[in-house]
Amino acid sequence: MKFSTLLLVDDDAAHSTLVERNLRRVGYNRTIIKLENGQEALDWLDNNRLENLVPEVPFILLDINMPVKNGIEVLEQIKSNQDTKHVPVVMLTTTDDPNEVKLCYKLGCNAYITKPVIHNEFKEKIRELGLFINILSSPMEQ
Amino acid sequence: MQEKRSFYFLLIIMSAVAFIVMAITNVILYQVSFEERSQSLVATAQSQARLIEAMARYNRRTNRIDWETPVGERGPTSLLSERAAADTISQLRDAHSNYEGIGKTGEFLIAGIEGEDIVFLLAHRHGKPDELEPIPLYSGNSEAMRRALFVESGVMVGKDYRGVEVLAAYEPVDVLNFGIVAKVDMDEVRAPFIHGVIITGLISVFVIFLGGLLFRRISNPIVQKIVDSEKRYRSLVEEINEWVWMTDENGVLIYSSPIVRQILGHDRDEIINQELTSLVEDKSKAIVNELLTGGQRKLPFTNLQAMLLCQNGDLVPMEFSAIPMFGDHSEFTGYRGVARDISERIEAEQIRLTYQETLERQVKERTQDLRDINEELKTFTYIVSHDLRSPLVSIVGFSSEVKDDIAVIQQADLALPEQVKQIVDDIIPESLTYIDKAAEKMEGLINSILALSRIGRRDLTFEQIDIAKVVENNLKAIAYQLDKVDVRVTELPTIVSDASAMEQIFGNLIGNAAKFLEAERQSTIEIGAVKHTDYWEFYVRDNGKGIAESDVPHVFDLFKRFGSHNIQGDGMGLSYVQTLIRRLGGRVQCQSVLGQGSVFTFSLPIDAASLGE
Repeated sequence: MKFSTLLLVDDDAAHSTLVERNLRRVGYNRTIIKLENGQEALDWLDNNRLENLVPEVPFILLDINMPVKNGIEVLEQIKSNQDTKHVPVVMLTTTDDPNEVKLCYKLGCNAYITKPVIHNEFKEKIRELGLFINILSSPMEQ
Repeated sequence: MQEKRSFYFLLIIMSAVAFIVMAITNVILYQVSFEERSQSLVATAQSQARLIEAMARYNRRTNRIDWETPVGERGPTSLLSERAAADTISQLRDAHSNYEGIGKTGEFLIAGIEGEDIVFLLAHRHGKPDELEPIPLYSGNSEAMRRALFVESGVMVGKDYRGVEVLAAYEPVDVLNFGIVAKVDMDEVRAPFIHGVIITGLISVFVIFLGGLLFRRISNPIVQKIVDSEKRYRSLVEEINEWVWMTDENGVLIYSSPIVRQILGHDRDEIINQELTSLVEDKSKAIVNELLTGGQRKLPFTNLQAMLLCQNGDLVPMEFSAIPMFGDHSEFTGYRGVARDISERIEAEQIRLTYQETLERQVKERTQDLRDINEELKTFTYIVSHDLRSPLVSIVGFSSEVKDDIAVIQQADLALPEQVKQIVDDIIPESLTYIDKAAEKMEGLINSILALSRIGRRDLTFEQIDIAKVVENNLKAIAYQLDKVDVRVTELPTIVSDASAMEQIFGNLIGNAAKFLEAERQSTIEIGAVKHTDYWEFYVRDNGKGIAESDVPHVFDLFKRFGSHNIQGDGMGLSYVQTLIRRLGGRVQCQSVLGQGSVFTFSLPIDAASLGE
């Protein structure tokens, strides 16, 4: 199983840009598709039927607070759909409400990362995330 | 009026009885006396007759009268020899001249018959015999003498020779063929009784008068009492604001208090003898009728509500209560009861209901408002935790990007003009530092607000908490700050509350006390509790720096920090404390004097379980 594509779902372009730059810095060189709301993410998944892509599966970084369709709804739909429930979803959001964290794990998210305001912490978190995705998306024999 | 009539009637009865008794007594006495008189007259007449006969017999013997001639054929003169008769009469006269006579009017007569006349030979009292004129045999007067002369014997009431009514005993005198009458005037016989009747009558009248007087004396207070009591009860019945009524066994009104006029407008005389149900509105008629005359009629009933018809057609709600009445033979005779106008009560009830409805609606509205606000607060938390933070992430992020880029430029070691080089080396990094600091502060504020809002919404878990333990743990946590402080803890209770809330409250208050101690004097911190009837009062007192009077009211405000700012803190501790204490149903207050110390006091209800929150 390999990840060829990273879906970066965030309505805030500044955040997307920061995340993208930091991922690139740790050497992540696969495709990063930036989407601005939850509906776009679901549409993308619909348009790229998973059967066609197997064994390549997208990796989703999902913000929560978004217009049109928020991250919680997207998460719920992805994880309740037999076709998409194995797609890794990492919540990447500014909200740190414990209730929301609990809810997301309940709905099946694979990780929940709060974007720290303190930039060094932010960079560190994204770096670790990038390294992790790198490992996942590298060919097995490496 | 009625009583007076009864009294006089009673008096008349009494008099009648007295007079009847008197009359009977007198009549009996009269009869006895009459009988006695009669017998005494008879005895006199007979004894005289026998005496005269003896005298005559003697005189005849001595005068040799021819005795052979039968008595029936003898005339007065022929009967005896003149001489013998004259002798006898003169002897009698002589005897009687010395005799006073019987009573006042008693008289003794001897007579004979001459031709068709009665000739009196002796009249003892009223005159000499020769003075008495002979009277005809059948004149009607002197009936007694006539009978004696016809040889009858007896007693009778009749007229004497004078025509006066007398009681007379008559007796024939054998031998001389005379008649004897002993008589007394009826007036004399009656006189004592007439006298007696008058005296007893007068006594009776006097006694009756006296009796009446006494009767009035004795009965008057009793009668007055009864009259008063009657008046009292009547006024009670007629003047109270409730309609008092009575019906017979058919539900027909036989009494109504006059108040009915005020309540229903009917005159009482106008409704008496009408059925009570005729005053009741159609809908309630059946039930009232059933109660008053139906099968259940022997039971008392209370609080029966019915609409009654006024004279002007209005309806008045009334409440009936009644008890059945029974006659001497336990037969049902009707109901007696009261009814009151309950329109005011019903109106009040209506008002109360309306008021209650309004109140309930208001409570509902307010509750909804509170729910809305609570909902808004949740949204607010969201805004704080995401919407405010999100741009901050960008600001800090890109400021860092710029910092990195500047570093790249610096490392490139370009030949820049001095002014540009200064900008790149010093000014931009300095600006970026300020941006970062501002962002950092902003984040601190956001986190504090978030924490407070979460405290306000967190679920509380009530359990037994040993406050002494809580305080001890808190003191241990900051023991390094307290090594020279005199900490005094009085006995603390175990209460039912939320553990983490208590931890936070005491943590903040003790922490503050330790933080603001005055280094120049021996520091003291006192912690204790006082039990009141339904709440505990806890206090944390210090003799530290204290708070300026003008600042005391603001100690619980958000982000408020007093005194020197070199002491760490976000200015939120006391806000948390206040929020928590309020949620636990208590109140917190602060008293402080600048330079002398502060005391924070807070209350917690003893019965914390009653907190429905």
